[in-house]
Amino acid sequence: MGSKQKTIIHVDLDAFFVSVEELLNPSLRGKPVVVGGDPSGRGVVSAASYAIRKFGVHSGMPAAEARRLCPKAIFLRGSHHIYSRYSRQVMEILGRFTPSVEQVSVDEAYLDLTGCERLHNAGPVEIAQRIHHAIRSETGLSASIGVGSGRLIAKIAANAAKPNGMMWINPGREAAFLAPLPIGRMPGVGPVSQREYMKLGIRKIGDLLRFDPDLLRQVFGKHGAIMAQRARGEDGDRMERLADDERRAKPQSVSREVTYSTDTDDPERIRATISYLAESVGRRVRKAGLVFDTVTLKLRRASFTTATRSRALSRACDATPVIYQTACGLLEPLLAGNRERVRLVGVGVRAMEKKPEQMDLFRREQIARMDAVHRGMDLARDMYGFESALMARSILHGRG
Amino acid sequence: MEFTIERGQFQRALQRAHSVASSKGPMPILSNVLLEAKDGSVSVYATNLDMGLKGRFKAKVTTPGKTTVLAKKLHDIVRELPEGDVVVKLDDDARCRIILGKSKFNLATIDPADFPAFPSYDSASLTPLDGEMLSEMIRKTSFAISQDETRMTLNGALMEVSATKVRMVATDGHRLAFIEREGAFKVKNPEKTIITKKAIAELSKLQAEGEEDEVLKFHRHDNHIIFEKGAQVLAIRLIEGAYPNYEQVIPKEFSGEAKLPVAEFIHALRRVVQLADEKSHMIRFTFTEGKVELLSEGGEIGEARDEMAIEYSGQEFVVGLNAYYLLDILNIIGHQEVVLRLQNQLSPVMVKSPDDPGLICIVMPMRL
Repeated sequence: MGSKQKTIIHVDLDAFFVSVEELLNPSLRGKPVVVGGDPSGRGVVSAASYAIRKFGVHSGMPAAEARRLCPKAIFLRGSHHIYSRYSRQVMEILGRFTPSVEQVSVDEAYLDLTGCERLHNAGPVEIAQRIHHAIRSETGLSASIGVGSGRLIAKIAANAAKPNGMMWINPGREAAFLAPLPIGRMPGVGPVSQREYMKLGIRKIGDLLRFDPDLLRQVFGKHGAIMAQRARGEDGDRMERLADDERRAKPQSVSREVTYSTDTDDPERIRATISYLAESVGRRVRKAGLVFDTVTLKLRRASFTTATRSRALSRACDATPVIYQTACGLLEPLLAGNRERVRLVGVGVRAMEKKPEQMDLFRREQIARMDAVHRGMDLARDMYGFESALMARSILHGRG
Repeated sequence: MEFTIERGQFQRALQRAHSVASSKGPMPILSNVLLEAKDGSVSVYATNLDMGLKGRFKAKVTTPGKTTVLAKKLHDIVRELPEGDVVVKLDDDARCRIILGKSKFNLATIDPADFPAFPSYDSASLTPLDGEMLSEMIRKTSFAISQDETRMTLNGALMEVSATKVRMVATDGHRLAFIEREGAFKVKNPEKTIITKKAIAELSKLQAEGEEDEVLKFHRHDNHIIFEKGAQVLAIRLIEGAYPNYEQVIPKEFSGEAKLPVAEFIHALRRVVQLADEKSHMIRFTFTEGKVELLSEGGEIGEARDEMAIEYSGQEFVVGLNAYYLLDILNIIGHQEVVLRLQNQLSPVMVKSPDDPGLICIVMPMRL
């Protein structure tokens, strides 16, 4: 493996949720469309069409603010099961080009094309073009594609190529490509660390090269050293791999939360939300082939005070009812001690790689039954989307 | 109180007693040993409330009486004394003097009135039990006793005595060892008692140390079980609670059976487990016609593979088991061959000796 040149492709669907909505309703094309929560409540923008981005609207911003910026905006609540169907279709297409596809989110994936050129009888650029064409012609969606010697380069290239574009960074030209880009383009540099870099006068990725790596390490810790290495284009695949391996070995957090459109003090409603979130978290854990050993419940009150409670399990598992029951157990004392209305509920787990699990002589019947139900639901969801199968209690969440 | 006792005899008495006494705890008197001299003997009694041990030893009693002193200190002193007769004497100042030749010690005492009473029992109600047999039963099951303190009832072995047989069962929820032996016992209703692992060990010592002609006897009294052998009595406080329904988890039907040579199997397990996962110690077994393949995957470290010719006919069967659970059983199986009975991947594997129908071990597999 060693010195062999890697070819990594990053595929990122453009304004994915909005694009799907446009496919379903072509009259939306070119219009300022937002998919997300209720703009008169506390909804958040999950996707913004390119037409509305000109107004400064971007995902993650409160929907109310989006409406203020662009009063003509069309707000859609989104149909996530349809998005997942499109997402699966795209991932299937990607799977035809290489067995090594790593889906990182609903609209993003990395492909390792190393050694596939001969198979496709084409160079990386041509393969990327074929992928782009296949996605367009089979789903109607547009994607941006970056090609490079590592995941980082491929991702940044895909971002630079957006929308509907393609960019190939020649091996050896990585540092030159990165140098003029703003530091914020580097994955892992958020608004906070961006400000820190600014203080040192680092605005562009290339600016990192002017600094002694030891100094960066002193100021930013391990992160700084990695950034410097990446800026030199040395990232390659290796650094990412390292991070990947670490991620796999180390526990990671899988969590979901919802903000109510109106605050609630109804314990039944909160439990329904916990049930819904537990199903979603459980599904993600199982899909990733992980297990969890700690369950966390987060409650934010109307006054924005947040309480987080965790409980460690006696043994790791991947069963949804365990998340639900544990989180409900954590809920009781929180509600008992404070009658203030609840604004946000979050459920999370500490997940780690699944290992063969010692079964118990006296507890197996129950576990086997629970397993069967949720694995069956997972199958239905694979085909028809997450909400195609829900526990009765979770359905109440949506009717709140 | 004053008595004279042969040093060796006194040391043996104290050795057992100080291992029972609590070394630390909320009640200082439990770290002490109660010495009581009367009628030509001295009784040595120690307890940690979960278990009490009392022995009677021949001594020359000058003045009857009793006192309590630190068990460990007294034992350590007596152990280091030269051969000879030790004089033990409680003085008016409530100090206990230990004297042998020029060696003199005086120990602080605590009022014996504060010492917990030994559970009362009636000697006539004692039932004889074959001590050798009981030792064997303990040896063949106690390895499976749970160490997990959250499952209290599994922290001990279940002893079940009926009129015609005695059973002992131990499990930690992952594996279970069951042994049944025949006998005739003077019990009206079957007695079910859960005995802690520490008490089980003490019981084995009681059986091993006594004289050959002394008979082990037992009696259940309230929440205690009393074992008597010769002049020694062990009172064990039982673990309260219901023992899990072990009969229900012992499989009755099987889809296949394999017979393996024990010595070779032990070596193969020990080799392959080297590269098994450090926590689960799992080995993946694949049984096919006439052979079994052992595979362990130690992640980054590497993997190990081994194969043994065995007696097996039936469909291919794959199961993941903790190697140490199997090794524990193979160590007590007492035969050159072992029989594995297989059902399905989610059911326990039964491990049996070909010639001991009373011994049943089961191991729950790992979910692969």
